[in-house]
Amino acid sequence: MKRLRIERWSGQLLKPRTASSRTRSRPCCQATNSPFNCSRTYSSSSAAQRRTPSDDLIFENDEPLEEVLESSLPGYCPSPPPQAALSSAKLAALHARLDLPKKLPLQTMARTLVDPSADPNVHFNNASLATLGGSIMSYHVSEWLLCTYPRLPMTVLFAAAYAYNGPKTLQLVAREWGVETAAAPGAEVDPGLLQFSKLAPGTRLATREGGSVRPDAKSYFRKGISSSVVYDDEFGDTIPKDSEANAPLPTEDAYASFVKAVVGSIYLHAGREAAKSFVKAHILSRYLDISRLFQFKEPVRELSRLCAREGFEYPVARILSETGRLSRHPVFVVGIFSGPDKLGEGQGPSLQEARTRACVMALKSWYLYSPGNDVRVPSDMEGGAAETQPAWEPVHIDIGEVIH
Amino acid sequence: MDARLIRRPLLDLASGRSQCLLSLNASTRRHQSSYRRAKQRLNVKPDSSFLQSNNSPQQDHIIFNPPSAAPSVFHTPLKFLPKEDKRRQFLEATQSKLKPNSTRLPPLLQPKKGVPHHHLSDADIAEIQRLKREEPDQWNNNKLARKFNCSGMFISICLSQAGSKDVDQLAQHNARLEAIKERWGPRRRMAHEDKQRRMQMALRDE
Repeated sequence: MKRLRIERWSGQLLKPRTASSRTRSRPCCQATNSPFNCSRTYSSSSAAQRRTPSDDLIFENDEPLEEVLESSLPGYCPSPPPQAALSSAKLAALHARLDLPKKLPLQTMARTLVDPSADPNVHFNNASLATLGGSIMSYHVSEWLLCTYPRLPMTVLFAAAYAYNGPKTLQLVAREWGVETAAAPGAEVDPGLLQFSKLAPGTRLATREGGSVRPDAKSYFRKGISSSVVYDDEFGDTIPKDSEANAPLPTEDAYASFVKAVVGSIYLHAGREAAKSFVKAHILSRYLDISRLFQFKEPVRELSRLCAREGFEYPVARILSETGRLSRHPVFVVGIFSGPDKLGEGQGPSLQEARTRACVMALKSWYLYSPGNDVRVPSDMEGGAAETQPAWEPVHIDIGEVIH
Repeated sequence: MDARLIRRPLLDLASGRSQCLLSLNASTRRHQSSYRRAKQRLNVKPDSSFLQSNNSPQQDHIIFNPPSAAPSVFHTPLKFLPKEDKRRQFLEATQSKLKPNSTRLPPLLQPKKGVPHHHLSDADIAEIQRLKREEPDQWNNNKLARKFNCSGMFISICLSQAGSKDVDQLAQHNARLEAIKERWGPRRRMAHEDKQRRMQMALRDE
């Protein structure tokens, strides 16, 4: 039986059509030395149909020339061809500056810099890479947060995850890497520039009244946190309903999807460990003061509910020291005691404020409990690490927030 | 009178607090000739916690004596540590060493009122609600609490379930408060706003 030659079949799809095979039904303009003449090679393994370019565009007759859109011209490429990546100094410098693995080729790096709004073709933009890399990055960030601060309330967890890998932070990260944006997308643009269609300033963004993907959007009067965990995105924000994939977007979203696409491409070419160490080096190494993300409404009540739940003695406030009680600027230092143990301490110019601060401090020291900065995360046991590392000890799983 | 006037600037000079080229105090004059005298005068014995005593260990050790500062929220108190945490025994050992000898605790912020709890029956609760409904102006929460010898919180709970919340009366009360606030001057108003802002900042721990 004859052997099936799959490369021959895909080769047929890649061959450019010559002028002799084209029909002569409509007028076209001459474009002999078109810069868009490109026969593209694929960086992905699967072959796909691509608008094939054509060399000769011949005048048919002497009818008046129609206005031809650049994008409708055969031979038009919305983003630079992959072989242009090998001659771009910016791209090579970025690759070296980030110390990316050698297995990651420059063509894939060029692809990560092309947003869907610049090039709608899924084989030449970074949409799929960004989806993959975004999942990996948010997985590592959230597992680190959950293992390092097991008792964080859900809202604070959302806020911390947003601070580590939200679009604004990823924009800062990409800017720190030295990635600049192209003024407008096109094939002649340097492949080392981030290419996207920028949303015009003053455009009204799709707001919540436009609809979201939540099934309970019309029936609830207050969005609960548990429903956010199920229906919303990783930061607790509602996912809008109509979001066109190739629409113009703000700069920060373009930078964010570029960073995610880099993580995705490292995962594809260099493996899981390389992607994890990249995320740890660039995202998780950033400093965030989590203690500043808290806001309480009734800390006294919340602390008394916490002590009742945990079986501690009822918390009472005691004055540790005070000065200037009848003066214009008194200072009271109040401590919250559960039996003989001090839970928290706070100072203020009035007794009520000092007690509030002490309760807030006690609650924060409950929520910010940490088994250590270098606690083991579940992904440490993946791959062949299960044999080399000691047995997995379960991390502390908290009962949940204090309901009051 | 004249002698006193003259003496004062000389005293300032002699104390060395004023900045002057000619100063008579040893602590302000540093020359190699006066080094010995200055060194003697500046000899201050350090606090006993920094010195070795009979109780301190004989081998090399570290004296840990940090200045008093507000404690950090990242240091979890022993009571809040989960049972399986490995640092529990260390924290227990440290606490037992540093615990003050006296078991007397600081004074309470709000001294206990000594009001009994769980002593009112359903009839009493109905009576509370009846009094408030029939004579709202005369019976406010404090009077009811004193009459029935219970806490004001309990009175509020009883009345919140009675359905006797008068919208008109609430509006009148708020109007009275607004009238009082209108009469405030700018300083009083700013002080009030600052206090509210400070409470919001305290809730955010800023």
